Amino acid sequence: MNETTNFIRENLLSKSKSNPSELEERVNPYLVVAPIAKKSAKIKPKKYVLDSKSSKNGVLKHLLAQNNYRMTNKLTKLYLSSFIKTSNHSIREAQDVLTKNDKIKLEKHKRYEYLKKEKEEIFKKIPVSYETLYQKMFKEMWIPYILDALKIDSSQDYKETLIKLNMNVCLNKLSICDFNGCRIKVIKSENLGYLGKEGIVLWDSQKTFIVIENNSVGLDSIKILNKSKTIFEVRLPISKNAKHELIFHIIGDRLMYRSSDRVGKKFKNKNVKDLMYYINANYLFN
Amino acid sequence: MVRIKNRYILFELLYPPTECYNTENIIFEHRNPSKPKSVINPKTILYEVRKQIKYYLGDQSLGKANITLQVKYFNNVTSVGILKCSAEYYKTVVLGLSMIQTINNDKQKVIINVVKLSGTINKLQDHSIKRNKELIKRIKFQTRKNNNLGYHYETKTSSELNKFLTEESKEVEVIDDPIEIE
Amino acid sequence: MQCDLNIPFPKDVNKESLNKLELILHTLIELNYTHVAINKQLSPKMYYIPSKKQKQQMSQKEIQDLEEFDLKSDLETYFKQFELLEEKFKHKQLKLFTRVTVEIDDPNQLGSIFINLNSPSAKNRFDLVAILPLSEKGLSFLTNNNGSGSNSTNVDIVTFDYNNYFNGFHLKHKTMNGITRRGIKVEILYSSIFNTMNQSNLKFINNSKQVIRCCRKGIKTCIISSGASQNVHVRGKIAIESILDFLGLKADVYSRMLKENPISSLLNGRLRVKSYQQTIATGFDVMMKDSELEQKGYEVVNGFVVATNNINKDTEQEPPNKKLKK
Repeated sequence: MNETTNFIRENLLSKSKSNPSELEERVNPYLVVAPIAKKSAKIKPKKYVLDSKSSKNGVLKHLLAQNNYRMTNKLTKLYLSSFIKTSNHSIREAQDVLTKNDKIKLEKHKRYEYLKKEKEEIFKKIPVSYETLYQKMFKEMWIPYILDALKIDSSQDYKETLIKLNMNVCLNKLSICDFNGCRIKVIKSENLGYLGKEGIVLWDSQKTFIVIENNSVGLDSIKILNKSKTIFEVRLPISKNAKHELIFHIIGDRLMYRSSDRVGKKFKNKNVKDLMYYINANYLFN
Repeated sequence: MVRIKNRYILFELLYPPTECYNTENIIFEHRNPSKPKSVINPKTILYEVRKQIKYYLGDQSLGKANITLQVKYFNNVTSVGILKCSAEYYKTVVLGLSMIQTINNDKQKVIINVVKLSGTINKLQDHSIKRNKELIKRIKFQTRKNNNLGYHYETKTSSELNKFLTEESKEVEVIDDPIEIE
Repeated sequence: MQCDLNIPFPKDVNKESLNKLELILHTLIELNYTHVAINKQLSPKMYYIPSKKQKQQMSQKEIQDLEEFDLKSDLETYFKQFELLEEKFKHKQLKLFTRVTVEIDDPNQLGSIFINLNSPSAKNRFDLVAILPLSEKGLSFLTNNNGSGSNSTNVDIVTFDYNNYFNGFHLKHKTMNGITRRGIKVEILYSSIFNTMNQSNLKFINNSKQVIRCCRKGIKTCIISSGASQNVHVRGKIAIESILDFLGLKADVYSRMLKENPISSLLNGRLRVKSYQQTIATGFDVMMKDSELEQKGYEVVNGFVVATNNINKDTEQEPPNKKLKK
């Protein structure tokens, strides 16, 4: 270091002035480094926990008052995940009870009856069975609702009623309608584990379908199906005894809204580069 | 001591018919072997490839591609052939093959369909055998369907077809050169 | 899987021209093609409806020609011939699609042609809609978003005339990027390289180089198809790759141009026909045609797809048996 400074002092700076130390003094005050004001520390995101003390019915009151979409989104996530965790935990408990008493090889409705009679505390925590939901939600509520919206008479011959309808209007109505209680099946997906999963929709959230899945061996459980990168099939029975069924596809990527927000929404065509999984993968590699 | 690397090209001549109202025979029509040997043979094909490369890419790339250019095998009846070229400049040879429209200033136009590229000649033989079996299946399925409907071929065409089928069922037999070492 | 999205439909419909089209399709089968679109081209004379003032400026011959031509009947003959073709190629591996290209000289002349072609109430809808700009004004139809520009969302493909130089307009990065960001693909037609008359093979190389330069080397934007009006100008997969290599492209680029880009433009077109703004679609599979669905046992009534169940028949028959037992 000393060698270089000497070199500068003697050779370079001496050319402009006879006494180089004067020059250094002039330069010095500009090189002083002043301390910069402290950066404000980052605000850490608070962790919200559901407490029975600070909230009513599991919802934090003061947060809801802000009426923020992002905040409600967080809260629903919390609420739903806690619900699914507790229900799945109780299902495990119930299955343990059944195996201890050698009732697991019974028929399915008898298993539920046994739990209802013997263990009422556990039975209240378990979600309702698939068969009862299929009867009450799907057959008695959702099908009449959707047939009424599309103006289809199930009593008449299906060919005559379909000719009168306009297809584009029907699809427009279906994109607005509510899917709670509908039976869906995953047909195509990037996630191969999802393929062929089937169930009745309990809740239609912004990015997921929460579904109850039929399980013939044990007890029915709740599953979360992501909307992104999956395609669901809906089959709508239009004649008596469900002999004839209409087939529709829900494209999950373009339906990323809650059913209440979807009403006034104007959908638009977008670039299809993210929908390539819709075409069979065999097409691309052969 | 480095081995000289080669690339082998399996190609096929197609004669697309200009006027054909009888579409039942269309697969056989594309591979019509009625051309005499004086018109289409390995020499004329090579001449045409060199001409096309010179037209599109010039003298320099023709000289590069011409080092080990050679037709290894060509059958006039099945119109399938194998071509040998250097591994570095095989793309220019494929371009020359695909640009050919006529051979030897003939009236009938020609498509050269490049089927497969490979580094060894054995793999090409396996592939051509597999392809021939599929082709025979396709042709036989068509003829059977026609006979059920009541169509019958004339004796001339059927004898030609039989010759084609027997030639097609033979295996392509080419022996590779001994390995050259620099 | 191999696509060729541009096989031109003959302008004068007669036996010979239709036979030529059929022969092209047969040679495509020999070259292992699977998805083929048949193209109907509309020139500005065919759809232009002049106002009264403009009629006074025109000569009588032009007015007569305009009145003689009927667009509706012309499109009907196209769909009729297409159905006949579909039936002929039913048992073969080819899948046929309909396509229309509209030549645009001046966007003011368009009128309501796009609304007529794309309206959901129309009986026959085109699977693919393309645009061929003849001047710089025609290209600006795609970029502006007011009024008639709203129809431009329904376009899948932009093509150019590769047989002649682009006279009068110069392609820019800015306009082409705006177009391709919405998923519209730019098409290159290779068949004119075989046509040595009029130096059109030179013009093809010049024009395609220009197009590739302003489309970011065509990685996610360009598709390649034949556009061949003759049997002889069609080539196989490896031959097309060598032509693209000759133009100076790299291997990863032209493999995308042959495989994924044409399939995505087909998906865009089919979803427009079969779904409501890409949210909910009818049918078992988007790429399947109605005739294919009927082969598999589904019924198609007025665009709706109906499946019949045999399982529920057994459950119906069971209860009367039980009553008999009692």
